[in-house]
Amino acid sequence: MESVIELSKVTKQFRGFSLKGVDLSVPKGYIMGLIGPNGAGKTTLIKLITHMIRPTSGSIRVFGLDVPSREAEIKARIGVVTDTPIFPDDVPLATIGSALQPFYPKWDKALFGRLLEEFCLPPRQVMKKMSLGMKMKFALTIALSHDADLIIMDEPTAGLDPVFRLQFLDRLAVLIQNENKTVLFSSHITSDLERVADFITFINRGEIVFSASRDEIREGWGVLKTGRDEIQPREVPGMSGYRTTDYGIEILTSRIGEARRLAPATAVCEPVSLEEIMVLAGKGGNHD
Amino acid sequence: MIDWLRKEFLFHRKVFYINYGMMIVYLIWFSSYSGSLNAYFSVAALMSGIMPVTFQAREDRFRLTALTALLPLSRDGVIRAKYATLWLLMGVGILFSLVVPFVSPLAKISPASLFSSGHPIAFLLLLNIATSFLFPFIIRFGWMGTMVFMVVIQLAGAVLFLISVLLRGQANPFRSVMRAMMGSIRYLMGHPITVSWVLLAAVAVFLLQYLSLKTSQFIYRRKDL
Repeated sequence: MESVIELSKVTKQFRGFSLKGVDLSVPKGYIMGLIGPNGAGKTTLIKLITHMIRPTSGSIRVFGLDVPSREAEIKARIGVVTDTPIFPDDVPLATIGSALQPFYPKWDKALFGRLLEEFCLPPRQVMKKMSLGMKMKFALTIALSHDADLIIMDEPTAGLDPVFRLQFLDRLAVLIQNENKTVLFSSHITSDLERVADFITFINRGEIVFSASRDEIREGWGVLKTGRDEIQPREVPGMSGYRTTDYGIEILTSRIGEARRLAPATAVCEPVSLEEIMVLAGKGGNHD
Repeated sequence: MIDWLRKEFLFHRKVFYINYGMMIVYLIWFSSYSGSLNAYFSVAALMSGIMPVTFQAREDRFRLTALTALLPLSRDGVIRAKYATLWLLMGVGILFSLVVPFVSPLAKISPASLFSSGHPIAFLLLLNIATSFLFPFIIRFGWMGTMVFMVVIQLAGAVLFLISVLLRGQANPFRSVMRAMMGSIRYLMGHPITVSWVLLAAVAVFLLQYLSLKTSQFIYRRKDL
C-alpha cells in the first residue's frame, strides 16, 4: 500500500512532554483517524507533519518528499483544518479566498464559490460574526478549494453541534471516494472516527499505542471480564490496560482470540469500542 | 512575492488606510505647527516604522502565523516576503514624509530646506537602524514579546539614568555614551548631501537590512510555530 505520510523514529522534546520515537504510515486513499486523550500528542504530531514545529530527531516524509527541504512543494498539495481559526477576523470570506488563491496552483475559484454556498457561508460575512461551526466549515472550504491530495484536520468536530458534525463527516466520506485523496483526522470524539475512519492510530503519552485498520481492531481487540483473583492482567496476551471494578476486573487486549483461550471458564470476552480502548489504554486504565 | 504583498494588502487594508490616513493628517498638522526639521523627521521616522509593526501585531492577534506556516512557501521565502513588506511600507512612509511639505499649503517647513541638510539621510538611517534591529526580535518573540523587550529596555534606561544621576560629574560613562549618541545624530543631520554621502548611506542601509534579513531567516528556520 502506497503511503502518503511516513514518520520514522520521530521524537520531539518539550519541557514536560515528549513524543517518543513515533513510526507512522498513512496509506494513500484512506481516512486515518488519530485518537488519544487531551495532551497525548495528537496536535504535536500534526504540527510535525505540517512542519509548524521541527522534530528533535527522526525523519518525516510526505508524498515521498522530505518535509523540511521540500516544504513549499508539499504544502501546495495539503489542506489543513486547525483546531482554532487562523484567518483574520475582520476580512470577508470572499476576500480571504481571493488572497489565498494565488498561492495554490490548483485553486478552483468556482469550487470555492460552490462550497461557500453548500455550507451556507455568505461571501461578505466576516469571521468575527460567525459561529465556531461556520468557522470550521470555512477552514474546510479553503482546504478543499485547492484540490488538496492530503487533508489534515486537527479536532475539526470539537465544539460542533451534531447536525454540523454529520454534515462535515458526510463531506469527508464524499471526498474520499476519489482514491487519490487521503485524510488524517484527529479527534477525541470516537464516534466520529468509527463513522468515517478506515484506519485508527491511537496515541497516548507521546507514544503510538497502535495503528491498525478498523477491521483489525474489531477482530483483534476486546475486553476480558473476570473475577479479580482469577487471572493476573500481565498474564493476558496483548494486555494494553485494565481496570478493577466492584464486580471484578476488565482487561483490554489486542489479542482477544488468544486471551479467550487462556482465560478462566467464568471469564467473558466482549468486543470493544474505540471509546473503551481510549479509556482503558489511556488515562483511565492501569498498565503495570 | 507579489502574491504575498497582495495577500498582506487584502488582509490589512483597513489598517493600511487608517494608519496612513492618520499619518498624513498628523504630518500636515505637525509641519504647520513646527518649522523644526529635526522634530519633523523624528516624528516621520517614528510613524514610518509603526506601519510594518502594526501588520505584525495583527498577525499575532489573529494567529496568522499559523496560516503563514501552512502556505506553500519555504521558511526563508516567508521571511523574504515579510522584509519586502517592511521595505515597501517604510518606502510609502518615507514618500509621504517627503511629499507633505511640498503639497501642504500650511507647512512651515520649506520644501527647499528638506534637501539642503543631511536630515533625509539621517532619517533614513535611523529608521533602518531601528527596524533592522527590531524585526528579528519580532520574528523570534512575536509582537507581545517585542513589547516586553521594549519595556525592559525602557526600564534599563531608567535605571541607567538613575545611576548616572547618582554618579554625577561630567566624566561618568553613561553621560559620555549619551553624548556620543546625540553627537552622532547631530553629525548625521548636519552633514551636507553629497553623492559620496548618499552612496555611503545606501550601502549602510543595504548592509543593515541584509544582516537583519539573514538573522531573521536563521531564527525563523529554527522556530517552532
